[in-house]
Amino acid sequence: MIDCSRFLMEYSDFRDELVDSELRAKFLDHIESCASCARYDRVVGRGVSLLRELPDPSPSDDFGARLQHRIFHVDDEMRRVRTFPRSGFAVAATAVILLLVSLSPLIRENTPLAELPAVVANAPSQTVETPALLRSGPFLSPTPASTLAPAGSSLLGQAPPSSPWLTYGAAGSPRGILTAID
Amino acid sequence: MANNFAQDVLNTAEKATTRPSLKEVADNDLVIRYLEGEKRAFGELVERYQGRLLNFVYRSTGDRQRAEDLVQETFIRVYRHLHRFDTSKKFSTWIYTIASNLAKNELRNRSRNPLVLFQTIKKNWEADQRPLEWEDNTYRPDDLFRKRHLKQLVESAVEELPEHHRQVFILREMQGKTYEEIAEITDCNLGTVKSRLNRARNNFAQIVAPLLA
Repeated sequence: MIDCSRFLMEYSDFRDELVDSELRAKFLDHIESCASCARYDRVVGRGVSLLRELPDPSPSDDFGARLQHRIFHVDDEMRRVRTFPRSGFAVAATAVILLLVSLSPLIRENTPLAELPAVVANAPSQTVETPALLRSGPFLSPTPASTLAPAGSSLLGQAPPSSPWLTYGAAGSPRGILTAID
Repeated sequence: MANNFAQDVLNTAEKATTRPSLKEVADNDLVIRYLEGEKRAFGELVERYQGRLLNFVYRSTGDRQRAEDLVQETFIRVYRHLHRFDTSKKFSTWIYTIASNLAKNELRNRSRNPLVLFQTIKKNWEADQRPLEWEDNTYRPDDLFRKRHLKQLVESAVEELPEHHRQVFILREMQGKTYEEIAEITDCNLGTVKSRLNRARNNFAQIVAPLLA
């Protein structure tokens, strides 16, 4: 024999026929003898059968058409996804090739690094008058290095490519040359 | 070349004649046939599940229109991921799992929405404030009417169940799922399903008992 609390605890197993025949017989015996548990069983049974009698909601008329429409878009999207990986792969492959090419020693500029001596500028012995704004006065103009330095006296035997304000002496030490022109 | 083509045509014709019609095949076979290129097989799956899923989602969420949207979303997800479906598993469990998760998300989002909270309070307030009708239909001695009224009350009793009890209850009592299937659909272990179902039945009985006495 089972009591009410066990009946309620294991009622689902009984209702879903998950108990063995011996236990099932005990449940049935309890229902016979206990009005409260019998009512409980009746209420659940009746309530559920009413629930099952409820009409099923049916999909609206345009349910299929709407779904079809959405599926069309999904197909479209999936087609694009299938196409894009290929073009994406092509882009990625091109990027990798360009990277490899840029890193390649054949393509890279092979410029040797040369350590240059420090550049020292000597102040000219003659004083330079600063240019006046409203009166005529001396102003500074660069002297081309070629006119001042003998050929071959510049660094590495060539005229320095940049500043005309600096020229290099025979010993390779640069000298700053400023010419005052009236 | 021509021979090959003829053979292909013959094979296709043979397949068409030997293959059972879509209505007769099991769900998982429909999936296989869809993946083999028979597009109509998906339509058959929709045909089979739209009503059941709508019923399940509607009973879970209580919103007819929203339930239909969620069922549509379920089919879209199935369509997208059908190629990933493990055909050794049960299709119905898979599709119910998707629908169940969508319904759960819907309820979660709804509970965070202050407008819905306000509407619920308003609905309850209106129900309380409604004046008594001259004729109380509840006690009208018309069996048909009484039964319909009872059904409505039972339906709303299900809505009163806590969410996690309600889903298990609907899946078992209305959709006829086994405990194992419910465990898989709701992502719970078997013990949890049993205990939730027992509690759900208990709650349900308490709500409907005064109506069915």
